[in-house]
Amino acid sequence: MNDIVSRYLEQFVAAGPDAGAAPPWLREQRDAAMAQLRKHGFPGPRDEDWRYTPLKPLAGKAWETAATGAADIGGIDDRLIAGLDSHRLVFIDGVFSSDLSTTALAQEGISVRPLSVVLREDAGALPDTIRGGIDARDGFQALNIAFARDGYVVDIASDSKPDKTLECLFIAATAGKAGQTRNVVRLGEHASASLVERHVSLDGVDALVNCGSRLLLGAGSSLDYHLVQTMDSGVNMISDTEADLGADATLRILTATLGGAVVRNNLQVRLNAPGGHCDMLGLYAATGRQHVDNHTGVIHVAPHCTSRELYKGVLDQRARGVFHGRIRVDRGAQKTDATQANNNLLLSANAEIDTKPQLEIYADDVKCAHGATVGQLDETALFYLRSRGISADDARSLLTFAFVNEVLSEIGVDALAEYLGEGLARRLIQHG
Amino acid sequence: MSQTERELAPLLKRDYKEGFVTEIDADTLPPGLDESVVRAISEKKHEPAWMLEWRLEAFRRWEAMTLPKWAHIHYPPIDFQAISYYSAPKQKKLLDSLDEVDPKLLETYEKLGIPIDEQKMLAGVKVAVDAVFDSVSVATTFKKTLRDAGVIFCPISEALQEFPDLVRQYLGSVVPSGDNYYAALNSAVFSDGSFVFVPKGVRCPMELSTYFRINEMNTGQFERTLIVAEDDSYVSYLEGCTAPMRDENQLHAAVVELVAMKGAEIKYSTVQNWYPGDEDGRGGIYNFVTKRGACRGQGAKISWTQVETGSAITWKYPSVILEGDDTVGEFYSVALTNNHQQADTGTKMVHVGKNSRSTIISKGISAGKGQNAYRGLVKVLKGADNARNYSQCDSLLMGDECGAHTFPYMEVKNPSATIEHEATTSRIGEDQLFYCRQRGLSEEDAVSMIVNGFCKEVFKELPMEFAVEAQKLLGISLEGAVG
Amino acid sequence: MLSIKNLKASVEDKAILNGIDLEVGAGEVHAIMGPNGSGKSTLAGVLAGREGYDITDGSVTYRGMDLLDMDPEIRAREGVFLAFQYPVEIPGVTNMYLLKAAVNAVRKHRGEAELDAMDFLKLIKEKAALVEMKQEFLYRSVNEGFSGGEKKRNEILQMALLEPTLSILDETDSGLDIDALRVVAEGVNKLRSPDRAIVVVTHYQRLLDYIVPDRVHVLAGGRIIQSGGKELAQELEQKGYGWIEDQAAA
Repeated sequence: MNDIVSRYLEQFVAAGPDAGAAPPWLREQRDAAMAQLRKHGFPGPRDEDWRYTPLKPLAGKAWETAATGAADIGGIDDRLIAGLDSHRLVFIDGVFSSDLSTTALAQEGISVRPLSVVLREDAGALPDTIRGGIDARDGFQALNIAFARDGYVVDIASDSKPDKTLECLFIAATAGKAGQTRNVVRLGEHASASLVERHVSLDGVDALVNCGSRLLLGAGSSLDYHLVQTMDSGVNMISDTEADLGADATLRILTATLGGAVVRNNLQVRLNAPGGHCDMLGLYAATGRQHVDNHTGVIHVAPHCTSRELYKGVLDQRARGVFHGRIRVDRGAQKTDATQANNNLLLSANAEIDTKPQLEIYADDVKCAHGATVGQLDETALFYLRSRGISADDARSLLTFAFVNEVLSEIGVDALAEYLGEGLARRLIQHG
Repeated sequence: MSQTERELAPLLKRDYKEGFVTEIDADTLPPGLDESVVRAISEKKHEPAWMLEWRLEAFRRWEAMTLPKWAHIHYPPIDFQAISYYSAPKQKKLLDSLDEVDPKLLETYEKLGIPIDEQKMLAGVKVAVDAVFDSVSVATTFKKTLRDAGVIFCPISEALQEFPDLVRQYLGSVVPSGDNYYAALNSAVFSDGSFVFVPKGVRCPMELSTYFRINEMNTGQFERTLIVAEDDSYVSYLEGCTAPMRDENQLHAAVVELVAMKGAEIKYSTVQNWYPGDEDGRGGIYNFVTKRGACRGQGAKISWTQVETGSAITWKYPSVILEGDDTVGEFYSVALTNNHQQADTGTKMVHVGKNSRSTIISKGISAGKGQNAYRGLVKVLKGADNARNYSQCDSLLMGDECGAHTFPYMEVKNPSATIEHEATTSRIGEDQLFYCRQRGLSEEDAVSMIVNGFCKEVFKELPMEFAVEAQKLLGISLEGAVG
Repeated sequence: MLSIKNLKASVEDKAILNGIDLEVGAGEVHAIMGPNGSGKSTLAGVLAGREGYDITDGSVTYRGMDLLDMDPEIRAREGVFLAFQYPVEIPGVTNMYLLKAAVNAVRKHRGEAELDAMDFLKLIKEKAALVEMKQEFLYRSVNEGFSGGEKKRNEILQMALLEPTLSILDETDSGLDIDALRVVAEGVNKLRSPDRAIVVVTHYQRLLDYIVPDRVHVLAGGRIIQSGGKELAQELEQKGYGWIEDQAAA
């Protein structure tokens, strides 16, 4: 794999460290990230955090980062979610497309802009938190920092709330390309917003999506964040989301994975001040030879915070699912109340699930519980439905749908819940 | 520190009553490990040539291995060359009866409350004991009664002389000599341990028990236990451990292999009370143990029950390979860490056979600066139709400087499997303590009662005498000078 | 028997009791009533020795001893019993075990021989019948999965077993239906005797229909603002607490 890193280095040098109008701090970050990648390379199967993830599809090839100027994909109407009224930024292969995006927002206190534009016009507006030295957790994050030239930057001023859902749509359109994007969402005190980050692809594309997002929630703010992926079966994806919550802030985050080839979602939430609350919802339905890997962590840094995690997955055919959930309660984070659940349905003899829920507790006055289950559809329930005249296939779909509905019903954006419900139904009927 | 924690603090002080040293002449190899040490041990034991070869092979593998680092434990590097790999109390000749055992040794076991004098044992409480002192077995009781029933229970060194083919057939068949770092080390240098063979259809007439004691300074104890239960047989085996108080850390790296054939059942219980080190974390035993059982035939059952209160570091994962159909694996564990103790313990249940079932109940208690981790793997292979597992891991925290961690792994490759894992973390509540005290119980009794209640599901799996012992031990481990 | 003088207590620097004076004689039943937040439960907790209260002034003398100087278990062994408003659940510890440990702790303290298993079993069966408690409850974990009424009954069972000299019932009537209330009250009444005293802390008058008090005190703002006979309870029931608070303020 050293070979791959050298090819990335060549690309890095060819692009130049200041490509995309980078301010000095960002150039330094990119250099440091490239140096880190050269030093440590990509993770291997011996790394505990990656032992269940096939690395070859992700790191076995030096994907080319798309140059500036978005590819032309015709229209995007049939890629939109019916009934979702949103302010929308569209990126093709990780590059902003102003043609396909809605016109700039004119609401006071609300700023939704592509990173490329912010870097060019207003780099000072980026939060300090993302400017410091980098310490990428792994080679993929380093790769992202070194190569990302675009992404979205959302700033919601204190006490403000966008009049519509914000939507950032990423389209993987070109074979062999990597969409490397870096995103920042910042909410001022008591601000609130609902954001949908979606990843779709053109059919038959073989590509890599590598995106990193930082969510910064000020005191008393509230963010509904949805990471939704419905790509074609040739696209590999790594997402890395880090969230920091201030006092009394609330984050509700959904990670829904319906498509892709090898998909790895990293999510880390830190509850930094008292009163913070986080809901982490996950949904995955994998078929074919898909591999869906959700790595989540919530760190209770401050006392009196609560977190709740619920990930549900359905695995069919030769699909493999991985769930790694970690609750860490730091010393001093008393009165923490944290729960975590991961439930899986295996529908085929060749499907596999590896689940690893973990608790790491360093404070004593806490309530923590986790649970994980692996099972199949309840035979008694199936029989019951069939005895009422429902066909076996329909009964199966119905029960599978009921299984994931616990997560769907918690999605605050109705149009999105419907879209996901239909997507799931299609997959389940097709393969059920 | 809250008021409760202040009040708990003295309760958590412990005295280690087994911490005395027996002054006895010992035949001890000088510290260090190389091929000649392995040869010397084998020679002292008059072992057959194949056994020496087996040891040397293990030693070569060990040399090529590196220390495992994945566990949630921290300790300075161990100097394997500073340890003596063999120590035996000097005895004039092979023993025929207990009368010939050095009275000082008998006294030691008496002090520890271990019944190795058959006459003194109460009628009713029939336990056969094999006592292992440092590296060798010093006494085995009720040998004859057992032989009459067809059961072999003797030191493994003796079994190598008397039943070499039997030992050869099973030794390393569950834990191969190169299985892991400590198992390889054990395979190279183990000096004694127990061997149990229960023939077809025999229900072992009494509990079997081995009592391990580390006495000599700078000595590692590497015992090897092998238990084979033939078709439709049953045996219950108990293991107890203590060591003197010493400032240095001592190493204990044992291997236990269990083989249960068709319809056989092995119940293996451990009460581990090695010296845990002092309040500041000085001294104590490093307990790195590999325990694994194989359910080889249809309907076989292996049940591990452990109460781990001692050792500075405990690293052990008693596991069951559920090879046969309809096999059952169980793991019941109480692990207590106080002061600076660290425990990383749990189990592996590997489901191979159809309708195999496993149950895991783990209770971790952390006090003082103790760190307690449960690490478990439930693996369901493709052919294990209708495999079932239920795991429950509860942690109890006492004080705000300790830690409780849960690292379960579930790998499922069969869609008809049902796997459930639950874990909770809680603490002894101030309201619970106050409630008990308002009813007249001392704080110490209240803590001990609540802790015992927390561990109840595990204690009920222990043989009666052991359950009482375990409860007392928990009490001692958590008690101290209450003002 | 119990003498409380100018008792002041606070929780986290917030004053809850602001000078309580109360004399309870042997053989007497006193009711302490008052609106929510008046300090009733704090008073009960302070008497039993619950942690988290700062006693800022005053004294409590119980049978000539300084009660505030005693550990909770010593108070219990000397005969002070608190029936909890919210009885605590203790998973894994059977009711039977706790009760036996408690009875024997008290007996030992008094210099009496501890009861063996057989004697204890006899005793507890007799007492369980008294509070109409099914025997299966004795073998279940302490209060775990008990309904509100069962928990309260369990408190009275413990009281009957320990035969305390001074019983403090903290809102024992809350959450009880009428039948349970009757059973609980009967249990308490059987314990009435010339050498015992009972303090009933309650928000409502209805328990006092069954346990008729000798004296009724009204607690408000951390002080006893009025004392009277059993008719005071009835008056309170009719007119509400506002009436008496206004009167006290006037």
